[in-house]
Amino acid sequence: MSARPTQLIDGATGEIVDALLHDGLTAQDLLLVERAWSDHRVRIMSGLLRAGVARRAWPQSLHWDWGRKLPELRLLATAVSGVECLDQWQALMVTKTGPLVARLDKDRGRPIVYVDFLEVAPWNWQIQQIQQCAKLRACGSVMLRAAVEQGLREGFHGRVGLHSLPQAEVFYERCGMTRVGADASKDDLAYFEFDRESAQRFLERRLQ
Amino acid sequence: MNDIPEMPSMTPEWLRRMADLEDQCASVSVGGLARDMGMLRAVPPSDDLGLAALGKLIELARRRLGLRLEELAQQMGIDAYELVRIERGRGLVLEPPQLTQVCLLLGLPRRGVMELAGQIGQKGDRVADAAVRFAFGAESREGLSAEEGRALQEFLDFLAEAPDPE
Repeated sequence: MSARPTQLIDGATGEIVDALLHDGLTAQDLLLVERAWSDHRVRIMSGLLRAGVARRAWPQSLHWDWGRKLPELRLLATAVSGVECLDQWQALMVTKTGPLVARLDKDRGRPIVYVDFLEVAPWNWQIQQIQQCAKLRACGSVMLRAAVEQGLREGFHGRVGLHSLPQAEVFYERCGMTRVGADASKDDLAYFEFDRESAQRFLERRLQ
Repeated sequence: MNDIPEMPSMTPEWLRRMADLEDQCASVSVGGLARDMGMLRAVPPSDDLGLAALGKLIELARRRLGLRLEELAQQMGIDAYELVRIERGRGLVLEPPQLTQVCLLLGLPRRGVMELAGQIGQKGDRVADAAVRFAFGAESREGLSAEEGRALQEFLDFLAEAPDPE
């Protein structure tokens, strides 16, 4: 596993804090991550139930279990990365390269980095209905940036593709990704892509 | 020739703008929907009476609260048909996060239910025996009969006594 420095923002103070972006997480790492995250998922669930929040308004990744992702790690061209800060994993991402290609017309058929899964630690979610504020902020953005940078290192010019959960579509649109459309092969989840130019704009913070 | 474009550095300004953007959005999660994310698992037919007892427990606890099957399925984020299969012990099991949710929704003792579902250690004889008595001791009818209510409460009391490994 390799690591390089990155930064996040402390949710309470607004100060920038140092973090580490790790590549090459193992199956054991994922099990440890979920052990820490699952307790907080339960707390959130309890809070939402007590507050009478309708199920359709719950965070759509609340039921995820990173321990179940273990089979993914055996696939070729699959990489797991994560951001560590304050001795805890604050976000995770699984990316794939290889046979996956761009779908946007201008780049159709060219290789991309595909973000298979991305999630921020549940204590970093802003959940207004239960007055939960993020402990650390910008975690998802740091992971998306890492995917773009992977695309640059691989020679794909920053091309990234992903299927967003419905609740996250606004985020990826405002990051400047192009909404290619609903994908019937993935439960009609919306598929988004960065091309070379939009990836560069994202890195340079020129957002929609 | 290695034609890798220059990578702009991540600046504090970029970080703050992105943090503000994330705060305004409900989620940043990427991946599949619930049924792809390990919520349910198909299992081959088996003689595991624990699953039959678990299904019966969920059904009676639901009916005791006056919840229709469709209502509980919706709260759990699964299809009503899938819940029918679970309650009848027919080849679908809930994964631990969903078992936890069911316990919270129905007021069931989490540790005892996890043991019953085989999620914690080896199921001991005491749980297996109690599961058999419970699973085959009551018939499913609309509304809980007095006998069903007593059987349910006895089993809940039993599960609540499950020892804590810590």
